[in-house]
Amino acid sequence: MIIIFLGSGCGTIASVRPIGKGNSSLSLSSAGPVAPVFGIDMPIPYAVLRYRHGLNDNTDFHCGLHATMLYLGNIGIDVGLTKHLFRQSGWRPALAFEASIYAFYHLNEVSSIRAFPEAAVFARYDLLGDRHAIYFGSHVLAQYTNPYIIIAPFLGFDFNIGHFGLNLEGKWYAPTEDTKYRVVDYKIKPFNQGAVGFAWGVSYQF
Amino acid sequence: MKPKIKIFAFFAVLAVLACQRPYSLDDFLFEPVKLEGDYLKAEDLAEWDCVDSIPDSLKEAVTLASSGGNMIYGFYVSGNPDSLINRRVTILYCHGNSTNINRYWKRVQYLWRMGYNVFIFDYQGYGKSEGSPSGEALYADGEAALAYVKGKTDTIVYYGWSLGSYIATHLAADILHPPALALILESAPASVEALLRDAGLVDLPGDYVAQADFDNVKRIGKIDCPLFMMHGLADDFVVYKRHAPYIWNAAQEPKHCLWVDGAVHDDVPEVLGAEYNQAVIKFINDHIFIAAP
Repeated sequence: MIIIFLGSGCGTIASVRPIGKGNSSLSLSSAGPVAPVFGIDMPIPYAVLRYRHGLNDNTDFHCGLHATMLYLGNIGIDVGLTKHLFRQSGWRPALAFEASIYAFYHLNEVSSIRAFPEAAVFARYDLLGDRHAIYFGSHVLAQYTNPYIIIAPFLGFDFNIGHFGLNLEGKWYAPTEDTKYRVVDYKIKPFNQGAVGFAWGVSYQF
Repeated sequence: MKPKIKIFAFFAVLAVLACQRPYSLDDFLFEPVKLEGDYLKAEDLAEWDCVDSIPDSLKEAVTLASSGGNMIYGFYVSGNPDSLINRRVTILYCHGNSTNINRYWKRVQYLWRMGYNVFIFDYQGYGKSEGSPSGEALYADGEAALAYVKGKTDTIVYYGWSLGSYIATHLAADILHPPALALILESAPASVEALLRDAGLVDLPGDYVAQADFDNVKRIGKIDCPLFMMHGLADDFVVYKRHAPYIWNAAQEPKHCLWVDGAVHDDVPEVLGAEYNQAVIKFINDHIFIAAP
């Protein structure tokens, strides 16, 4: 039956570490809850191309193009800022706040325009110096219809080699929503709440 | 060209590509099973716990031309000869999204045993019907079926189960109908948009993912014929509370409903048992004048 992404944090990975003033990066990520896709249980592929630019050492700008939406004939973008509030100090993790606007538009239908504000808070612990990290946090997306708030807590790993980065995340999409009976047969739904999925992202910094 | 300008140019080109719509999720709406041999083979019907009890003399295999010149297949079943009144009504049965006529033959027999004539047809891509399914194709198939049935009678009841509800509602709302008509919807989804929201929770229009114009809520308000809705309260696919109330609230009077405790998506008649027969017959008798033979 119908396959589409579920809720908050669709397709994106957290901008887990500051990119640095004047630096830029390009990333491709894909994320989604695990469900049957063409007969195979896998994360529903919702892909996003994202550009980031460091406005200063603690603030990054990002904009993304939602490739899966494009494939379906829609324009989906997101723009936002990530503010890295403070750096890791002992057991206190680094903390960051991200605010984005997701906007979608279908062909030439003005009535189809949708916009959703989304925020994310995440904490990061550096591993093996500052090349790699483990991080956790949650996305929160708001909309005008029920459910008005959709959250997606996540846990992720950030690996960096040279200019390249790799992120892997596990996400629990919409854990506040009953998903026992849904059109899509989500395969991992703890307590019949929400759906668990996975995300990956690769990035190149320049 | 500077690298950052190249990046934005790349994004702009991709955005233009969106207008081409390389892919839609319509295919996920349809689960046809093609048929190489004959319809109604005993072994095929047995898969659906069905034994054909309709005499061959009352069954007429029908082929109709639909959109794109594709031929679609159906069966016209003449009403039980013992039922002098009900056999003056023909039920145009629009089946669900999976398999083909074989799966729904049991349903045909339920209605036939009530005494009605029944016409059931396979959509393009289903059973032996040519072509492939799409929203437009299904509507064209429904219109072809209606044209055929109108050649036999003007006392027609549209019956749509699940996916078939979109076609039945389309025929009742958008196509000129004969004066005596009623609409029966069983386990009907509200719309593709409702299905999308059910799956993804996010408020996005249905045409973001599907080209098919499947929207029962939008059409039901245009229908001025009597409506009878049935829906299982334990439906685990088209969940009652996320679909049926939206159609019901948008429908005009006269309308009747039967929300069935313990019934899931595909067993409303079985759970109801004899009450199913009584409810359908009562609804038709109450709203359609059937001239005595």
